[in-house]
This record gives sequence, C-alpha cells and structure tokens, in this order.
Amino acid sequence: MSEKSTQPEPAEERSFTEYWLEAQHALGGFVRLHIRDHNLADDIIQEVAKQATANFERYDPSRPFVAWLIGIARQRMAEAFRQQGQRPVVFSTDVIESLTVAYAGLQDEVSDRMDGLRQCMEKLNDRHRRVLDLKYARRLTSGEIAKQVGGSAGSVDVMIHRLRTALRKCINQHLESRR
Amino acid sequence: MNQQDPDNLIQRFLADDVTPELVEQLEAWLREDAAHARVLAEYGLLEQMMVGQQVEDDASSVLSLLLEMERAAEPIELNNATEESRGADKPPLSAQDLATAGSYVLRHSLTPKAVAALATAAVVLLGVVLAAVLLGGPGDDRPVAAGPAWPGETTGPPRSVDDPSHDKPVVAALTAEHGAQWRAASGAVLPGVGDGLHAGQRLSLIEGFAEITTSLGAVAILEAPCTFELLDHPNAIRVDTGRLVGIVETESAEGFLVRTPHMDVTDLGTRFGIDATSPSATQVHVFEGGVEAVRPDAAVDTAPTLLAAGESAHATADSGVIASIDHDKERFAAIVPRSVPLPATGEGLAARATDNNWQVVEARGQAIDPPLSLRVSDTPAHYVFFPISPEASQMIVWDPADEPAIGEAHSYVLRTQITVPESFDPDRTRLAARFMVDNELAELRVNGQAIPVDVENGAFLSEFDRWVELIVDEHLVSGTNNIEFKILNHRTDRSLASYVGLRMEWELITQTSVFEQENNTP
Repeated sequence: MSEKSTQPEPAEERSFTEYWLEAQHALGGFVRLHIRDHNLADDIIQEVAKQATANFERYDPSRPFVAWLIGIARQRMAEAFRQQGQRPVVFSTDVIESLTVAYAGLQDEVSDRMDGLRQCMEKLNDRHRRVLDLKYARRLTSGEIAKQVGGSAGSVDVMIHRLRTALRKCINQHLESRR
Repeated sequence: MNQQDPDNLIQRFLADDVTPELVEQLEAWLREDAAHARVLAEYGLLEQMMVGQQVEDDASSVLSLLLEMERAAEPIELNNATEESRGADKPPLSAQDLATAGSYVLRHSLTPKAVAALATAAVVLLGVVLAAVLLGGPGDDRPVAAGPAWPGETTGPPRSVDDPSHDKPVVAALTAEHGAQWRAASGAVLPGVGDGLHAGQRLSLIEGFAEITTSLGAVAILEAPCTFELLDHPNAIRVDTGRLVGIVETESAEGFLVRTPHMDVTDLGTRFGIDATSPSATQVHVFEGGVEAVRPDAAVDTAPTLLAAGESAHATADSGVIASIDHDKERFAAIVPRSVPLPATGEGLAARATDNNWQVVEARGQAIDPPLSLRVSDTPAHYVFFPISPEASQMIVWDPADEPAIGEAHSYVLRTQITVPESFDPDRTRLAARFMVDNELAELRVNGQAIPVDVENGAFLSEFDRWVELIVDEHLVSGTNNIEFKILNHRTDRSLASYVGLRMEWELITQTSVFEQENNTP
C-alpha cells in the first residue's frame, strides 16, 4: 500500500492569493447584489482585498474564506453608504447569513458557470449582446443604452430583466448537463 | 402587504428600485426556504460574471502564475502577530509573494481594481510586519514618540527606577494628557507625556484623560477612572475598567486590539468607543468603519461579531453572547473629535431661490463687483442625475437668463466663506466634502492657495452627475476662510440654457480632542 497521501492540501498552508482567487467571484456577487454602481462595487471589492490582505493572519481557516470576506465587505458597504448619505445595506443579519452560505456553496461552481455564461451569450442575438455590453462593459445607464439601441430607458430595463432571467436559466441548464 | 412574484421582486431589487416594502417582501421570501437565498445569490454572481467576463481569460493565466511564484518564494515570519489572536498559529503570509502578485496585477486585470489592491496591501502588510518586528521585538525599548523623557509638568509622585515592567519592550507612548492623575503599583513609575510605555505596564488613570499611541499608530484616548495594561504586542491594550475611544487612521494600525473583561474588540480601520465602566458588562460603539468583537472565552473557531458604523453591542458577565444594543455616541462626548456641518448648496431652499452662501465673483476673467449670488436650479431634468440624498443639497447655478453675457464657454469663480471656530486648531482641522460641478472644475482655491483634487474621480470631466470626494487639510485659518471654485462652462450656444453649477455637501472636522479644548476654549 502506498504511503503517499491523497489528502487535500491542509487549509492552513494555503496562501492568501489562493484563497482570494477562489473566492473573489462569490464576493463580487455579494457586493454587486447590493451595489448597482459598478465603479463603487469595484472600490468596495478593492477595499476588501486590501483589508483582507493586511489582516490575513486573523482569518480562521475553519470558516469559509468567502464568509470572512463578506463580513469585511458588509462594513465597507455600510461605510460607503454612510459617506454617500444613503441607507446602509438593506437586508437583515439572518438573511445576509443565508446569502453568505449560498455564496460559499456557489464558489465551487464559478468556473463552470463562467463556461455556461460564455455559451449562453453565444445564443443571444446581436442586439441583446450589444445591450449587455453597453451595460456591463461600458457601464452605461439605461437611458444612455436606449439612445444607442433605440427604445426607451424603460424598455431597456425590461430587456435586461429578461436577459438576466434567461441567462441564469441557461447557465443552470448548462450545469445540469455536465452533471 | 402585496405579494409579488419573487422573480419580479429580484429584478426590481437588481434594478435598484429598492423600497422598504420590497425589502420586506424579498426577505419574507428568502426566509421561506434556504434555496431562495441561492437563487438571489445566483443573480448576484451573474452580475459579477457579466462585469468580469471580458477579463476572465486573463484570470486563469494569472492564477497559475501567481500560484507558481508563491510556492517558490521564501516566507517572511510574522513572529509578532497578536499572541492570542485567532489563527495566530497559521504559517505566515509570504510578503514577497504578495508583492510579486501585485506586480502581476499591474499588467493583468483580473478584477482590475480589486486585485491591484493586493500590491498596495502587500506593501502595507510588509510595513506592518517590519514595524512589529522592529518596534515590538523583545528587548527593544526605543520610544515610539519623540519628546522629553521626563517633562517637568508630570503629575503624581516621584518616579521609581525599579519598575519591573521596564524589562519589557516599549509598545506604546503617552502622547497627550489632560488633567491626568495616575496611580500605579507600589514602586512603579508614573508616565509623562512623551514617555514610552512598556509591555506589561499597568496603570490607573484616576482623573482626567490620557492619549496613548501604540507602536503601530493606533490611538487610544482613555477617560478616568480607567485601569489598563499594555499587552506584549505593538498594537494591543487591555482595559479592565474605564472608557476608551480608539482611533485608527493609518493602515499600519489596523488590527488594533482592545481586550476587556467581557469582550475583545479588534479594529478593522475605524473609530470606536468602548465603555467598560460597569463590572458586569462591556459596551462597544462603532462611529466609523468597523470592528470585530468576540468574547474572551470564546472557542477558537467562534465567528466574531462584526459591527459597522452606527452599530453597537455589549457583552455581560452572565451571558455567553455578544448582543446588539442602541448606539450611543454621546457617552463618549468628552473625547471624540468634533465636527461642524456646513450648509449644503441650496439646502432648504426652493427652486430659483437665492443661495446667499455662494457668489459669482469672477466671470470670463473679469471681477464681478459687487458679487452676484447663485440660485437653486429649477430644471427638473437636472435632478435625474441626482439620485443621492436630494434633500441634502441642490445644484446652485448661474443662470444665463440672469445675465445673458454670462454663460458662454469660459471660466467662472464661485466663492463661499466658512468660519473655522476659534476652539478648533486650524492645523488639525479639515474640510470633508463631496461636490459636483457643471461643467468642469478648473481649480479649487482655499484662501487663494490652489488645492489638488483627484482628477480620476471625475472632477475634471464634463459630467455633473458624479460626486467628487474632497478633503482639505491645508491653508485653513482660524476665523473666516475663502473657498473658491473656478469652473469652466463648455456650452457655446447662447440660445440654449447654459448653467454654471455647483452642488456641495460638506462639514468641518477637527481632530481637536479634549486635550486641546482646554487651551482653546475662551
């Protein structure tokens, strides 16, 4: 019998970068769920990375790393809302905890979901892809998008609504097909 | 409550159509089944993936490169981490690895701003590590603050030279005091301003206030009666009884630990107050930023309670939990920095009303004498750009209808005056503001001196729907100060409305603590 261990690498030997790269999309999902301003969301994620790096020795590896990051993100979001004179993060603590568990569960699926997203995007028509590009890559408002693709801001909102729903469904079907 | 389709609730939430009723309905749905949280989380993840899709290809290549380099690098030991902090037995971070990761991030955008932070953070972390090693290492008794060893005005009895705690390294310094009377163990020395404080040094402040700065830069302002001890760490203190306000303004000081009988509080970059005046309970109130709180007897895997600005909690002797309590900043009123709100532009004024706080003093290079006031904009279309706290401020404009000659493409100088109270030390006072300009900020002047403004944040762009954050901490004087915004207006078609506008929300903040108030108060 071989003595070579087949056990996974002990958690405490993993570096910050390994943890971060694994958890960053789930963290980003949590932050963008609460903040629609992409630039502000970027800033929040940046602050979380900075703070997590500086305090990594205090991370308890028995907890999901993304849960630790989300805890930091909550503070940063509350601070950002306060600085902007907005109401703080809206959900109650118990709901936030449920979402944290959900994101920890989604973390392992990110790679497959990205594959699914690419494939699902290919199924969209040019106009739909254009709208998504304007919203997520160029970060335009619905009104600005409407000027470029025609229609009203409201119609753009409806289209984005339908695209989100369709993409999520398509991605989940992609995951099911791989199981 | 109207029940709506969950998908519709989620889409409204994602579209930022958030109302208390929507949140209530969404939360009710989320609580029905754990699977519902996953649905919402999937939508959040989709948003993230959509934003990051263009850079994903870079991500996988960066990942493998980062990991290779991490495994090859030699770690730097973090041998001065908090001795009892959770996870202290973990192998140290490799600062070299992180610095290397940072250099990669400069060339490969993963989520560009987020990972770019690693470069900065690595440098900061390295600084913290080195500071901890250099300032807090065993046998290192160099004082951290400049100043006389024993100033002539120290209070308390003559000093003893046989204080056993002086065998330990200096971990903090007494940086200010106000009416302080001290008590220490028999034979122990009493501190004076500028003295280094040693690990294990235990002191009682029986009257007045004292400011202590740790070797890593965290500031603790203590209010008597207070008994405390410096821990064997460059950024930690134990308060057995008394009141403390913690101020952490530098990254190196983040992680400042305050131990109390019922709760350990770790700063995450913040201002917070701890009230340990009661033997049966300890309270923590967070003013800015956030803290982690955990009971001293908690198991090592206990998740800390995270508290953000405006949140408070307490731990009692007879309870095993940390529970939320009402926020109460006032109990620290004697020692927290003070601020004075300044009138926001158009605050409380109707459309087209004159805002007498601001005047146009120069137009197209020509002085306007006497200066003319600005008006609150009455163009509803403007306000579609202003989703944030519209009640706090309004755009004030120079309307070309008031003076047709003004409104062409040229520069205009808008001036206001503010008063720095005599009780504020101008050297320790700052203006904190956010503003928008229409069309473009050319220059900001304080008492005639130009102040740099972050151009990346939109100030110099021709967009007036962006807040620009601003801190002014120079050129302020006690009494009246002139603040001037030189604004460029782009519009050249005089047949159209061509506003020159400014929207601003601000406050005057002083770091003046109780120590300076005595000297400055008439």
